[in-house]
Amino acid sequence: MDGHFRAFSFVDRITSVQPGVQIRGLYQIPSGIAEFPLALAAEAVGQLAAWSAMAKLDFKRRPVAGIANSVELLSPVRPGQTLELAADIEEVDFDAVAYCGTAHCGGIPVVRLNHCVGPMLPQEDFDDAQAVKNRFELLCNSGAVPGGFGGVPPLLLEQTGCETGKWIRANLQIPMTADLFVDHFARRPVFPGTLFMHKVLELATDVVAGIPVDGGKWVARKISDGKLRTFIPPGDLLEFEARLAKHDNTAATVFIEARKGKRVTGSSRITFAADKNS
Amino acid sequence: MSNENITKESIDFLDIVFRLERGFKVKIPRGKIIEDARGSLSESEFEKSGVVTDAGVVRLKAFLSEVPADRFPSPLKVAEIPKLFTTETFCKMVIRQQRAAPPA
Repeated sequence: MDGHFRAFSFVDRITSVQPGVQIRGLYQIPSGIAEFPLALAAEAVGQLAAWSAMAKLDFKRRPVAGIANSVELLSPVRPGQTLELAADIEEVDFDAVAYCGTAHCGGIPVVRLNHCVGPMLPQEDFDDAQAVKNRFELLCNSGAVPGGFGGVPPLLLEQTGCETGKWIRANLQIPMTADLFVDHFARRPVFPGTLFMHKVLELATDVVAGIPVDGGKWVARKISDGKLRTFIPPGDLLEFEARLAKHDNTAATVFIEARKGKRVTGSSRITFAADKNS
Repeated sequence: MSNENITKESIDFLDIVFRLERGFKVKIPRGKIIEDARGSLSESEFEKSGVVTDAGVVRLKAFLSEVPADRFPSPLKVAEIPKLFTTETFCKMVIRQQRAAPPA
């Protein structure tokens, strides 16, 4: 079985759907992987919303990249758990989709996406529209065989400069090849925005690690104004700069921007809370 | 492959329009922006093969009166019209929509 609809697909079953209105589904996190970052739980919600949006437009268009007004990071998840996914479509047309959604695990909310917007682009540029439609039918009926995701590929942030507790610069080399590129997307490999988000969180966490918390540690709680402004193809080299915007005893905010050369690829703001119980 | 792609302008444009919709509780029909700009001109009078005609540019300069004339490139592609928009353009969009459908 190849990696199409498996290597980077995070909806196993669609339990109810009103195209262009709302959708509910499930995803079983493979038990054999090392970790399942919350950014990928957000990816699962986004993919679920995409199914509803694509169904509304008869799979002629699909959302790619975009903007997240905010992603609340509520509770960690572990391999082997099942995500209960929900998305409500605020608006969808030929050009764009706007949606919000949540992922729960055992009834506990793990991520909440607020006011996300994605441009709707021609499906045929990214995948075979009939194959996508067939997949939708499968998800709505018997569901897919779980376990296609083989884990987060190794993505090393190479630090190029820092001032402890204030800023860090780092490079991220996007691999030329990775299993996920077979699935994201079949006809045009694009580095997923949520893995970009995962690395953004990692770098922001490194920045706040330099700020002492009285008897605890900083925990990322929210990604705000997450924006991916361009496709990231395999092999790109991204230069990140993460800078502490403000902090006090209870909260810290880090602003991150990524560039390819002079061009801004993406940006976001990460809010941390001081967790004195951890 | 289609010429359609995301650009920083298109993402920023979507971001701004959706934020305005939420902030001002109006609906800004994105596809209608160009239609409004076209005014009484037919589609074929306004553009040919994706390029705005001379008559279209005259009409557009009147519609986007806040945009300095020297910012209009020649030729001007229809897809590049949103790049001309200024803050005032977006303000005008919101005001037009508020007048068209005042909040209940």
